[in-house]
Amino acid sequence: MTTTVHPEPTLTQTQSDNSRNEHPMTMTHAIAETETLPHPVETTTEPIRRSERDPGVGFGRLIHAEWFKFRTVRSNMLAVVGAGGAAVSLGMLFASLAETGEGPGRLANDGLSLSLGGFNLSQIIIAILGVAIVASEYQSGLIRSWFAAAPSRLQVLGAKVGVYTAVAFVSTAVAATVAFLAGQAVMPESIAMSLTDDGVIQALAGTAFYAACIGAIGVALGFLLRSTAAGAGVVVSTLLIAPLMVSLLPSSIGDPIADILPSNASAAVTGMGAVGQEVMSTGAGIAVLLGWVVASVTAAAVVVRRRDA
Amino acid sequence: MCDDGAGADDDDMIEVTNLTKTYGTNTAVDDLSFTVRPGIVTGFLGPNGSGKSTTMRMILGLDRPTSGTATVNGRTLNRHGAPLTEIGALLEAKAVHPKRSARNHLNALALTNGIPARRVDEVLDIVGLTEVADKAAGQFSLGMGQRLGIASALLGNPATVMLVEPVNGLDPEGVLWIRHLLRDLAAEGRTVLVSSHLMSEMALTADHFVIIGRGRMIADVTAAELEAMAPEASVTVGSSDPQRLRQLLARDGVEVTSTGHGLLSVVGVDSAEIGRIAADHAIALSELSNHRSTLEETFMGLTADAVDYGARSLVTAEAA
Repeated sequence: MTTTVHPEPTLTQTQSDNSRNEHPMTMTHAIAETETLPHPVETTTEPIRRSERDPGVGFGRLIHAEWFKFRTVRSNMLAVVGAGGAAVSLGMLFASLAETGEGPGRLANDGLSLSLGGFNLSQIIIAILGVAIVASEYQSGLIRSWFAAAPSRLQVLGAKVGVYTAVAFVSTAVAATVAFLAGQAVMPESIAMSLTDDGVIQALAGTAFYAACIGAIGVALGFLLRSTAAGAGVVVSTLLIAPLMVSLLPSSIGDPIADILPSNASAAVTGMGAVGQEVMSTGAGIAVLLGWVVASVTAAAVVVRRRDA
Repeated sequence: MCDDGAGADDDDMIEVTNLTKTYGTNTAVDDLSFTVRPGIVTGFLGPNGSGKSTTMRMILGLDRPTSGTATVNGRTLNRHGAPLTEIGALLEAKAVHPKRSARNHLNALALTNGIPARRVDEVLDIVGLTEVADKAAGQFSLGMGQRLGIASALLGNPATVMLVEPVNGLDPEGVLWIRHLLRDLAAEGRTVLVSSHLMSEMALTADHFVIIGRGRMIADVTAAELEAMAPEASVTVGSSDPQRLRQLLARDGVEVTSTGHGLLSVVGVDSAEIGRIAADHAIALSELSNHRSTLEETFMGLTADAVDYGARSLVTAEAA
């Protein structure tokens, strides 16, 4: 039979001359029975701590913790890199096929929109990942441990929205820039553009802004629906299916609806609409997208505060 | 705090006052009041669906009480700056992202309350998960998941610890370890509340019992008081002629019930007297055994009326 040797608590020597470290209770019987136990049962090496000396939970700490949680699940990072990689690859594919002489497809006007065409896919991934990082915590029960550690639910919601919005914005900005440069490199010189050309910076910034907005909406949907499947359904319906449905309506009914869909606002903020598409102003597009963000995050805030966790 | 941070305070306790939670017309917790004191292990018992989990979620501020209050160390949990250093809770095993490592799960929780990273290593060591700390938590067995849950409960070195069904899924060694852990936490002056539906397990660790059924208080007693509530000892008698023996034993203060298969359960006469009566009347005994109620039977008796999902015994079902 083996005995486990415990390191002496570090306070032992100083305890007598430093009364503030004195702890009335010790672990005497635990040590005596160590032999029969699978693991040492020493529970602490420091006295019970009081929280008054520490500022405790704050928004900054929650931001830090949420970012830590995000980056310590490899599939999250893979999804972000995958979304960017898919957009870059598809953009390069579209760009290289433009050489067939038929010219770009109906949805692209020029080398710019051709090289960024892949973001139609990656935006869906970004939105669904936003849903999943929240819904998975509801599904595992982690959200309850989390709220017990950080009782301000609005701060928890804010930290998740903030961290994921930043992830979506930065990753998409990088991916859009790479996709643009790589796309121009492989497309026919006749349609290739450079970063300094009119509208290019707006398109890149607008693509990242749009990703940030639907990322925030995805996180809010995660809180509202608590299910990745349900949230993904809403994302796909709103971003992909709704624009198709609306186009089946008579234009007097369909156009006003189309104007408030996130997908049309995307064309406005990036300045890249399909051929013949009537696009609202950039400012109106930003307003529509922010309206969706504010509405969904507010709804999530109301629900998460009221509902039992 | 005047004690400058060290040691437990007198107000390190859980106080539940007139706590009520209703869902529509269903009352899950009904005007519950009790205090969980430091230095002892308090067992929180009740049949499945009796309201234990709802009560504990309200203590943690996860569910909003319909009325009443639940405070931890003098305040509701949301009034504490760093809740993890006040109360550590294990609510459900494996409440972790399956792809995140055990160490990173604890690190993330530690970051929220400003708990130093070395404390993560300490609690991993306490629960014996150091070797698997960098494995994805989704690969853990139920028992390892319980240990990880206990590690997160101890993370903030809290004065109050609350564990839901901590022995679920643990092997015999693990069960033994939990018993010692609970006793040690109490011996260190912490407030320890452990919920279980297994009286037999709690009988070995708890000093105090809070027993509820259908959301209402049934008993708030010390271990000694609970023992005193045990029903009277009975004697089980197997004989060649149970009907005649039953007539012979019948007198004031004696209760004889047939328990099936020709066995009688007798309360009010001791086994020596029963043996003598049987010998006097030439009845052969095949069994004569004293039966003292276990705490488990006391518990079953106390909560019998409050069991939501009762099952019929197979023997009774066949006889019917």
